[in-house]
Amino acid sequence: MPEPLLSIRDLHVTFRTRSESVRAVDGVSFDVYPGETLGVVGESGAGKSVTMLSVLRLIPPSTRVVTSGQVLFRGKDLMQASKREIREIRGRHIALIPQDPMTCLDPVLKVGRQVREAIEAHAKAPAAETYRRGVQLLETVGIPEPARRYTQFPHEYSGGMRQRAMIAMGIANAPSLLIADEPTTALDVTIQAQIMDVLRAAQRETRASMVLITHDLGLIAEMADRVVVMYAGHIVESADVRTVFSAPRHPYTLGLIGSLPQTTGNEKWLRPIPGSPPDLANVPSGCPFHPRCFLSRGREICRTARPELRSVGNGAHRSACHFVDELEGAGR
Amino acid sequence: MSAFLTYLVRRLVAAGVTLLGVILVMVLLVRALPGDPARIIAGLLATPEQVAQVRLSMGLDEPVPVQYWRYLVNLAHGSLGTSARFGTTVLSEIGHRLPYTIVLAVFGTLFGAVFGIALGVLAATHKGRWIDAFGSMLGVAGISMPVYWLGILLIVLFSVQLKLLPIGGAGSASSLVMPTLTLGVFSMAVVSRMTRSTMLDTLDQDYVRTVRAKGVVEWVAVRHALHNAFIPILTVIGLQFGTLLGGAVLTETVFSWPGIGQLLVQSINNRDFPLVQGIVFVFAAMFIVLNIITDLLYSVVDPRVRLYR
Amino acid sequence: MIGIFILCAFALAAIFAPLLTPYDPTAQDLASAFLPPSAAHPFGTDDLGQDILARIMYGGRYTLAIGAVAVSIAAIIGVPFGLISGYAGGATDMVIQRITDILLAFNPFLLALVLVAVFGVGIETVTVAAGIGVIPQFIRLARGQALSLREEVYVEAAVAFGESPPAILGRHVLRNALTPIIVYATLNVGVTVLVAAGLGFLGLGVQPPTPEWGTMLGTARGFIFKASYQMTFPGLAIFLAVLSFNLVGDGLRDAFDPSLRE
Repeated sequence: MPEPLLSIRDLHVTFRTRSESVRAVDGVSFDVYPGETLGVVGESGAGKSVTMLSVLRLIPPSTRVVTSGQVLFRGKDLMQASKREIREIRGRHIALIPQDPMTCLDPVLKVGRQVREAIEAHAKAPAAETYRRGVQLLETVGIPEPARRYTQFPHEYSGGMRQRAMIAMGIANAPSLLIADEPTTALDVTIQAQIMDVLRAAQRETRASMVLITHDLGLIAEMADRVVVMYAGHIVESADVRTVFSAPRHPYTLGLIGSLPQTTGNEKWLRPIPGSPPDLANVPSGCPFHPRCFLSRGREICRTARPELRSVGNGAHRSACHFVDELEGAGR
Repeated sequence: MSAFLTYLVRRLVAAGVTLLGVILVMVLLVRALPGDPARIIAGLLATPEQVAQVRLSMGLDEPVPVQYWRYLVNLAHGSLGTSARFGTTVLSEIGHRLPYTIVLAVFGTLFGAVFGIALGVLAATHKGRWIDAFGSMLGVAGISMPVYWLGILLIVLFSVQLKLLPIGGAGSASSLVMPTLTLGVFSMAVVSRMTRSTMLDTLDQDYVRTVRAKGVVEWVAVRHALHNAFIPILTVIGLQFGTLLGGAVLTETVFSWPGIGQLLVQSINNRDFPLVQGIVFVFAAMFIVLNIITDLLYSVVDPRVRLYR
Repeated sequence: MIGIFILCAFALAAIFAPLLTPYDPTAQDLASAFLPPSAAHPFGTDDLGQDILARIMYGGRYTLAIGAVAVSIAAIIGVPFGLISGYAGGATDMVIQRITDILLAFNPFLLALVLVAVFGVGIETVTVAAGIGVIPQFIRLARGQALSLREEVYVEAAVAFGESPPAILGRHVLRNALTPIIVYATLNVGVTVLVAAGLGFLGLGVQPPTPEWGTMLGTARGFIFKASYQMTFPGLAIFLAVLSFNLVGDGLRDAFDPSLRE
C-alpha cells in the first residue's frame, strides 16, 4: 500500500452560533492515495464541502468555528501549518475547484486577470509569459476562442464556460491534489458530461489525485476509484466504487442506491429514504441515521451508541453500522 | 459610443427639468415673502423709485409664470440677476467665491473618503477587535458632531493654544487644514460606516474564498472585496459631497473662509434675494451634476453595470 | 444602550429643569458675567451673566422639542406620499419622485436655510424648516417599503378581498412599514437637531434670549478668547444629544432589522 497523499484524521468542525452548536464534521477520517479519484458522497449538508474546505483552512474567518484533528498532507499536518505554509499549498499543491461557478468568480474583473492571478500567486513571470499560459489553460479546458475570452468578464460567460474557467484556475499550477466540489451540480445535464471529460483529461495530464464531492451517484460510478459515504458529518461507509454499488454494507448507502430511478424493470415509483436529513445542531444520539434506518427497527444500541467504522468483508471495505452483518447479501 | 451619448443627453435633460423645478420653487418663495418683496429686497432705506426699480427688474408685479419666464430668459443669456446689496452681477459675486468652496468641498471629500475607506476596511477585516470598536465609536461620534463646534474647538486648540495654524481666512495653504478637517470628520464617519458594512458582506462572498484558495496573500483577497464593495461606497462619497456643500456654509462662517457658503449667509442677512436665488441655483446645479458623474463612475467600477443599452 | 442612558438623562433634565436649578435662564445679571465654572455656577456664566447650566437644561426642552416636532412633521407628510408613490406606481410615482428629486437636490440644511431666509427667523420657522429638510428621506423610505411590501401575500389577499387602496395602505402596509420608519425617525432626529442648532449658530434660528444650544454657541463664538467654557458646554450638549439619538437609533435598527444597515 503506497503512502497516502492526504490523510485526514479525526476531523471535527463545529460552528458556534449564539444559540447552538452545529457539528458539521464530526470525527471524519479517510485517506487519499496518489493518482486515485476519491468520491465523497452524501446529501446536502452532510459535511462534504466543509471537510474539504477545512483541509485548505478556507472556512470563512468571520464565522465562529472550532476545528480539531489532523490533516496530513505528505506527512505535514496542515492544521498546524503557518499562514505562509498554507498559502504555499493552496493553489499550488492542493487546488480547489469550488461549487457554483456563478458566485465563485469575481464579477468585476476579467476572467483572464483571474486566471493570471492563480498563476502569479506562486510564480513570478513576465506578463507576456503569464498571458500565454493563461490563454493556453483556457484552451486546455475547452473554451473556444480563448484569446478573446481571456479579456471578457464572467457575466459574458455561460455557466459551463465558467466552470471550465474554474477548472483552468485549478490546474494552473499542476497540483498533486484536485478538490472538485460539486463540479456539475449547477450545470445543465448536457454540459455535465463535457465538464467531466475536461476534469478527467486534466487529471490524467497532471497525474493528480482528485477528491470528487458530489451527491450525484451516477458521477461517482463513472469517475471514482474509491468512495466515501457521508451522513450528518460522519463517514458511514467507505469502499472501492464497484463494491459500493454492487455490495453496499450500510443502510444509508443501500437507501441511496435504492433511491436511484431504475430505467429497466418494473419499478413505477421512486423509493426515497424516508424522513429527512437531521438538523446538524440537533444530531440524533447514537447512530445519526437511526431515525430513518430500516435496519435499526428501533433497537436500543442504535439510539445510544455511535457505531465505529469497522472493516467488513475484504480489508478496504469499511462500514459504520451495528448490524452490518445482517446486510450480508443485500443490494443484489 | 452613441448609446453612451444618448444616456448622457437623457440624464442632462432630466437634470435640466429638476433645475427648472428648483428655479420655480425659488421664484415662488420670493413671491411668498411676507410683505412687499420689492421693498424688502431694495432695503429699508430705499426710495420709492428704487423700490419700483427693483419691482420692475425682477418682474415682481407680474404674474408668476411671467416672472419665471423672465428668470429663465436671463439665465439663457448667462445672467443670474444683479445683487441688491453689492450692485454687481450675481454671477460675478458667485464667480469670485465659488472656487474657494469647491476647493474646500473637494479636499473635505477626499479626506473623508480616504480615511473613511481605510478605517472601514480595517474595521471589517479585524471585526470584533479593538480597531473595529474604535472605528465604530469614531463613526458614531463623527456623525453626531456639530460641524461648527468641532471647528471652534479646533481653532481653540490649534490657533489659540498651540499657535500652529491661522485662525481663519484663506491666506495660505495651512489655513486649509482646519476647515478640511472639520468638514472631513463627518464625511469620514459616514464613509467608514458604509465601508465596514459592505465589506463585511463582500468578504463573505464565495469569490473571495476562491481567491484565497489560489494561495494569495490576504490583502489581495481584501482588495477583491473592496473593489466589489465600491459601488455603494461610491454612492455614499458622492452624497457626501452634497452634504459637504451644505456643511460648507457653516464651516466657512466659522473659519471666515471666503466661499459661497459664507456669501449665502451674508446675503440672507442682507435680504439680498437675487443673490440668494443665484447661490441656491448654483448649489442645486452642482449637486445634480455630481449625481450624474457618480452614476457614470459606476460603470467604470463595475463592468456589469449597463446604464445605457 | 449608552444612548438610552444619555437620552434619558437629557430628557429628565429638560423636563425637570425648573426644579433642578434656582436660576432663571433668561435673567440677566451683568455684574456676574463671565464667571468661570464654580460651585455656584457649575458651568459658569455667559456674556450676559446668565447661568450656563440653567440655560443648557432649559435649552434641552427647546432642542428636543424642535427635533421631535420636526421629525414628526417630516414623517407625517413624507410617509403617506412615499407609500402612495410606491404602491400606486406609474404616473403618480413618477410625479412624486420628480418632486422628491427636487427636494433632494438640496441638503436639509440648505433647504432649511433658504426657508428661513424667506419666512423669517424664530422657533416655529426653524422647526418647520428642519422638518421639511428631511421629508424627502421619509418619502424615499416609505416608497421603498411600499414597493417591497406590495408583493407580500397578505396585500394580494387584501386586494383579492376587494379592500380599497387607502384601507390596504393604512392597515397592512403601514403597519408593517412602521418599524423601519420609527428607526429612521430616531436617526433623523439627530439630523434635525443639528440643522436647527446650525441655524441658531448662524443667528438665523431661534433668537436670544431663548436658550437654544445652537444659538448659545453662536453668541459664544465672539468670546472664545475670553471665556472658552461658554462655548464648550452648549456644543457638548448638542454633541451628546445627537450622539444619543444616533446610538438609540442604531440599537433599534440592529434589534429590529439588520438588513436596514445603510
